[in-house]
Amino acid sequence: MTARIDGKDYDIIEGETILDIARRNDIYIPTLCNHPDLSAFGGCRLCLVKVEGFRAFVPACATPVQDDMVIETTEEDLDDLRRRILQLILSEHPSACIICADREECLDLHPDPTKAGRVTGCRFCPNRNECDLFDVVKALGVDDIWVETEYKDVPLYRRDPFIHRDYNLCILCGRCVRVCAEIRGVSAIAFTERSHDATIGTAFQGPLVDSSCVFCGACEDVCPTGSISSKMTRWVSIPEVTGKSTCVMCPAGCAMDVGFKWGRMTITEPSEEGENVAQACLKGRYCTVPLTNSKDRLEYPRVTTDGVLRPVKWETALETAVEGLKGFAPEEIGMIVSPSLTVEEAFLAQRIMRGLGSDNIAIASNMAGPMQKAWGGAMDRVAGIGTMTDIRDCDAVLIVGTDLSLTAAVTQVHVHAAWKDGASVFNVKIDPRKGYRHADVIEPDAYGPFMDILLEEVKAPGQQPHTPDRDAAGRIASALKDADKTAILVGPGAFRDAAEGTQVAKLALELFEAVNGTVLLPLWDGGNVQGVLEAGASRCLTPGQCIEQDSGKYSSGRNPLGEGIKALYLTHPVPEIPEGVEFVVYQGPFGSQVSERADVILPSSMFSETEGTVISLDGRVGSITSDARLPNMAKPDWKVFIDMGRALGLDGFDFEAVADITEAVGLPLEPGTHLPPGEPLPEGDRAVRVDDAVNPVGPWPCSATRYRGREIAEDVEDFLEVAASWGWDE
Amino acid sequence: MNRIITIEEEVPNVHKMVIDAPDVAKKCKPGHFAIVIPDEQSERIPLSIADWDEDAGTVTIYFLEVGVSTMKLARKVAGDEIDMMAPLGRESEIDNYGTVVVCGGCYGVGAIYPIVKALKEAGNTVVTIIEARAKYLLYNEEVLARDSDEIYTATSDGSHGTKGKAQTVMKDLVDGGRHFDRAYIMGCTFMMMRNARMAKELGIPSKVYLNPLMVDATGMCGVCRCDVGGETKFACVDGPEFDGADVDWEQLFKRSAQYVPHQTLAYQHKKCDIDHCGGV
Repeated sequence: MTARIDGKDYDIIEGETILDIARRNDIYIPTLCNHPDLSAFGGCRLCLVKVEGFRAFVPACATPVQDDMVIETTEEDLDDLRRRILQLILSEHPSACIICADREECLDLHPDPTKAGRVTGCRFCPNRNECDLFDVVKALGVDDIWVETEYKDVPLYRRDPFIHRDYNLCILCGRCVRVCAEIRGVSAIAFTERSHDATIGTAFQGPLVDSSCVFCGACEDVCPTGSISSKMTRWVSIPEVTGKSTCVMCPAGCAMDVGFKWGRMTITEPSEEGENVAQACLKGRYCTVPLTNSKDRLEYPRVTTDGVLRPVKWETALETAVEGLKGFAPEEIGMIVSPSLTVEEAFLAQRIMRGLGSDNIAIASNMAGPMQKAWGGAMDRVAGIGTMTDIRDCDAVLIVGTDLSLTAAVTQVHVHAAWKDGASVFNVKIDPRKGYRHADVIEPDAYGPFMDILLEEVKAPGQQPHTPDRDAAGRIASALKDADKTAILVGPGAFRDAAEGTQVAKLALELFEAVNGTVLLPLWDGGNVQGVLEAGASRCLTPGQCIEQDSGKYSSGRNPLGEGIKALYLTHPVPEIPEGVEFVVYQGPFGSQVSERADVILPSSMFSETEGTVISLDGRVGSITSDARLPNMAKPDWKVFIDMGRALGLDGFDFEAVADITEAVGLPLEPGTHLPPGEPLPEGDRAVRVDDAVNPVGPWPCSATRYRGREIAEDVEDFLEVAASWGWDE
Repeated sequence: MNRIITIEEEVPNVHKMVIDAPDVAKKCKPGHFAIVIPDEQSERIPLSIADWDEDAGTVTIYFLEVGVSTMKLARKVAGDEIDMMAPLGRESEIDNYGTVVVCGGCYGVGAIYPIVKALKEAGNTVVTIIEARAKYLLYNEEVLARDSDEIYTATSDGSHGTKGKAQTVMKDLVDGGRHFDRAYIMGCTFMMMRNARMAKELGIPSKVYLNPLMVDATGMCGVCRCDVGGETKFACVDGPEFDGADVDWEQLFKRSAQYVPHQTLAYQHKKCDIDHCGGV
């Protein structure tokens, strides 16, 4: 099938619109309301084209192309019509700067937008460097407005957390409304009012916190004007340096575009390139930057002398740490590895401990231990099966122990895609918090017993007397069994108690096998738990999750927070220092109650300031890059570990760059690819043994509202407001 | 502390504030400015005095909401108290020159009024030109018209008066055979620069009212340093009125942008107590 556009024939694909085929072939048709990811709206009328045999001009975005269609896109009368339509749009937008002859010189002299209350021109507009409206004005060559201009003079919405809304700039393209409903499945905003007063808003124009808004920022990303902007970064303008990185605020591993200015991180935006399909959540989108630029960062190495922590040189801090650690037998030293470290950093961390002859290493995660116990015996490697994008094709989705609000929130985008295609979505959770609005929510008393019942109902339905839980379980069981493809997601809520968590993890795996599932994913309680496991930074594991406990190489595999431990090397705050611990080394970007009691403090990096690799909950390898200047004397964690390894006189620390460490890890860490699920990495012969040696170490406080033990709300007041309104104020 | 009698948003972003300050009203002269401090954590904001009433004991100020401190100021309501120090700066040079052109833009449309009035009283023929980006941003036209012999308006989008800027009108008038003995220009730095350059081109001596960052405003700190005619001047005590042709505008722009990173980054962490407007 072909269509003729402007005198040239093009192959067409069944079902595509005139705009689609034009985009595919680089034929420019102006549009403001259309967005490739969203449904056609036909609102702005700028994409009008002439089609032979049609009585009127038709919108290219909403007209399906047909075989032998003859289309004209560039005729003078068309452009004239488009210009007049555009001028009408401009007449209700503060457009004076757009058509001002001095625009370029004025903006050159004001490289950053002036921080005005109301945006009355491009000079004040946070969006001026990526304005779709201006692009269309330039393309159509509009330099005046034939109708009287008007300022709508509607009130600004600036009391909402994170998001600033100024509908005086709005051109009513409706992209925000569609992205909120179609992609995010949230529908917090809609068109309200009628005719001249038409605007975008929440129900009864209430605050966003009282709506179903999840503060993901998707509306801001698709807005063609400056109507919706980030309160915290709206005045930063163009970054001086940009890069591609990966978010480690949660285990979803979203690909992010990051920007730096004035030596600081200034912006994080979801990238097109990851599984997050250009979507993010409030933590990755709005909290990473203020957390990185926190005023409470650890800036200087410190050593306790006479009971007071005093700033010292790095050499002194390292010497003190070495002297302290060497004063204990290997089995008396324990290490807590942060699940926010990169694979390379975790690899170096375990190398230090193993170099000292100790295997007392634990991950600061409630899920890692129980998962190792529950899944370790059944699969070669503790890892999820399938990917996040596979969820889109599933017919039934079961989410257990999380609500997808603050942990792996972006997964909701894929769950919603499945729901739109008719999938049943069940959410088994205990906390009465905001979750996915289309899910069938089941709130049992406890996870373990409910999963037992669910498994029974899958295996032998309807055999037991009715109870509310059993009826709900029956509903889920029949949906899971009827589905061609099912997805099961297990989250941190079910792991607050280690024994129950182990049971839930085991039952989830059994359930997955019983229904012949497609996707089984652990929604880890830490940004890089999977990567830290792969790096071998846990007791009895070596890189690639090989089990080494019987080799006799290490003196023991004790709980680093258990009895007999006298020295602790912390890279994550612990709830409290156990009795009997005499010496504490604390390495991290933020202080805590624990660091106040440390003997040595080593200031290190956030994920936004380091380099390396992280692995998402579905085994996707993400790379981390940064151009941020660390606060004062702080160093990236990998450099601190190298310095520490060398100071301890250990072998295997002569790395110069992160790439050398990546190579030494010996895993197939190719950014953008998935680690093969459930297969041994690297090839090696090993039998997974599960015993008490991998008993969990915890419990750890809720990870969803923290990064590396630090409450996000301490640096981001808006996060406090949102989290509290969702019930995360524990 | 001084009480705010009225405060309102005259046009989007431009606020008009009448303050109870009898002692200040007694001593005000054209060209004077005030330092206003919205609260104890705010910057000290230099603002031109736009009018005063000795009998009522009040002072009028127009300001633009363009940063954390002016946002705080804009959130004030009648009856609130602010800290104000005034009058400051040197009195404007006013005499009978013949025909003068007075240009005002953004806050300057309001703040140029005492100069228009004084020039008129001194016997000049006063031609006033006010500019804005669009019709809805123009204000004070009637007030200025009362004391001007002629008044012209210019808007960037052509929605009112001439399409263009004040300097477009100034040039049109000169091209049409008018002669001006002097030009007085008040507005944002960009506007003053463009008009001063036009005045120079047309051979008109010009006066501008510089608005650099300022702290103490009494000549102690030197923050308001600017380069005029190759000499370093303090805008607070040597100005704010200077010869437009002599100002090093590029340096002025650079100095004004000096603390942009600090203030921009401050928006990331804290909310302002008032209206969550950001910053500290």
